[in-house]
Amino acid sequence: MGRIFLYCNLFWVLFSVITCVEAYRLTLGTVHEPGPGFFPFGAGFIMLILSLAALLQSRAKKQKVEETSRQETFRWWNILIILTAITAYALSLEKIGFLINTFLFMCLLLKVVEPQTWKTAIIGGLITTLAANLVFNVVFRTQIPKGILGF
Amino acid sequence: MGVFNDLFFGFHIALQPMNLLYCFFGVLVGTLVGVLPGVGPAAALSLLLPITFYVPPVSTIILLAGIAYGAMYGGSTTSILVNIPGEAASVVTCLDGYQMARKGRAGPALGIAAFGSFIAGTITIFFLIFLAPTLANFALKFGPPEYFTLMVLGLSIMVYLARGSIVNALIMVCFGLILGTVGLDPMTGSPRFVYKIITLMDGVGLIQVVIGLFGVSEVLINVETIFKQEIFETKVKGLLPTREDWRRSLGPIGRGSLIGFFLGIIPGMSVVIPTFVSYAIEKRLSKYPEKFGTGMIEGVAGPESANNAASTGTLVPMLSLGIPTGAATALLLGALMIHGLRPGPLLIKESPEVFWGLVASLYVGNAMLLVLNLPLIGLWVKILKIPYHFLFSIILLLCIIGSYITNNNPYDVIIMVVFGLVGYLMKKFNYEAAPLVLALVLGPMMERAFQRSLLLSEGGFEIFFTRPISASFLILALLILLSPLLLRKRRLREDLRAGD
Repeated sequence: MGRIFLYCNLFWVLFSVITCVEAYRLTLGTVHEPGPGFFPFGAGFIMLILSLAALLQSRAKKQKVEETSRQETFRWWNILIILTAITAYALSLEKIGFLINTFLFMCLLLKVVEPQTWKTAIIGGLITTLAANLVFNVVFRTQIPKGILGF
Repeated sequence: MGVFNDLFFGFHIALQPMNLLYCFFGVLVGTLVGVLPGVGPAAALSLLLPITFYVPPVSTIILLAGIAYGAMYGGSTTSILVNIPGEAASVVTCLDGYQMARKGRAGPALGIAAFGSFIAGTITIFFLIFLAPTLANFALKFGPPEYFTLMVLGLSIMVYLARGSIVNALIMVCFGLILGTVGLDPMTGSPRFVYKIITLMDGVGLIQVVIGLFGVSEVLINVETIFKQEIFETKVKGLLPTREDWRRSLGPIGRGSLIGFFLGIIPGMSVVIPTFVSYAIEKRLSKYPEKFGTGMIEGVAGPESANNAASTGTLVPMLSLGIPTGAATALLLGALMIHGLRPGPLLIKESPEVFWGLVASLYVGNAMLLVLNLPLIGLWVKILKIPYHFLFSIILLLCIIGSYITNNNPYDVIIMVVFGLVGYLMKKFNYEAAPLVLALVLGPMMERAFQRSLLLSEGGFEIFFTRPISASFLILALLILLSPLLLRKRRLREDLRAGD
């Protein structure tokens, strides 16, 4: 597991190097007249030193990673489903609209992530959608897209 | 007399029906998020912040502050009754509060937590009234170097208090500072790290980052394994503490109020640390320290007063200096800025209705919480019984809506997804989110102060060391950051000596 921390610190080293290079390209300016890249370059440079120190530290000692216990299944697919579902929700919101999108999203979560019966998923999805519509569209009048239903 | 006239003016604003309603809504939502584990006040503030675009500034700040201190009440209820701290600030309450409940004394534990919070809230409001304007007047002497070094000090304290490695916390600070530079450069107007993504022109949104790091990531952590929801049944009888309970609790409440308020003022300290400090002090002062953890009422009264006092204390630097002390105050500050107000030393003079309205609403809100929460305890425990599959779906939906309605931009939701994943990985690999968020908020302010300082000194860094206030801030920051190293060296030397 110690290797994971090594990779983590390598990531930060890489991230800080890229930040420094990109900040340098933005022009650093001078101390009298700092340019747009001056501050991010400074932050990136300090980060580089710190991540190099952390890299040396991680080579020297082993750290514990928060692991799921061996008896419990690591359900990585739930994380993937949730992140994909939210992304799909966001990208289709303006076309399909709030009501249909929310209903489908809730049904998916209730049926797939923590599997419930179809009845529970549909009723749960319906109630949540209507309640969210009441709160955000009727009470607070936020401008969430109506989409193909038109209301 | 001036202060009392101003306070009267504040009550006039806070007691207006609409503001009373917003205050009630705020403390109710606050208690709810305090009860629910995984949804902290920062995430709740982010979710409700976009809604306040349609609300007057005074009502906005009353509503949002209500959420922040209401969460402290909610957190204690579940800590005592079911041993689940809804809030990090209520973790320490579990130690003796739950033991009291197991001995059939849940009522007095809940009662003293509520009364203690109310008393602490009342005392500290007076501290706020006198300290915030004084500090604001003092801060008028601050120039860009003082502001820059004060923010460095705040970040150093946050790093020092972070769990785990200080180097990791410092990396998070740098990450936050770099994220804060995304968008248009304030001096030249040229885009930085935008890569032709229009959504990034205005920078990485604080609301999306906070919702992602605190809301989405918590759900991801919980769904990766089968979530076990265990609720213990505890009967609540007689909420009023006995005379003996009061005798034992008055000292801890007074000390907790002082500790909470003054530690809460320090940027980076947050409301969590004061509760642990209060508990440790009560244990040390007690004649029976060995009984702590077995159901001592002092162990509930002190920390519960401290967390409420600290949430008032965190408002002092925010209102008088315009500097947030953590994620929650950063969002309150953001709300003020969205409404065109200028948080800082001039806020109290320029917008007295906001300051005094908020101060009075703190008192009104605390009274509301005391009256409302004790009868509603049964309801809060029932909410904890909602199956997690419903709860997490609703939390995710609220996260999406909260991120979207800030700018009505679907790509803001994508940013939230990215930070949800980042937050999840950070939790897995022991990186803390709080230093990142504070650095993200302070970053743009720090950059401006840094650039102005350099312009003032014509390019000389000595400006940070030659001005007494900024030099003392820097020395303090350095001492704080180096102290673990010095302590470790001393401990090593002692160990070696013991080995000889």
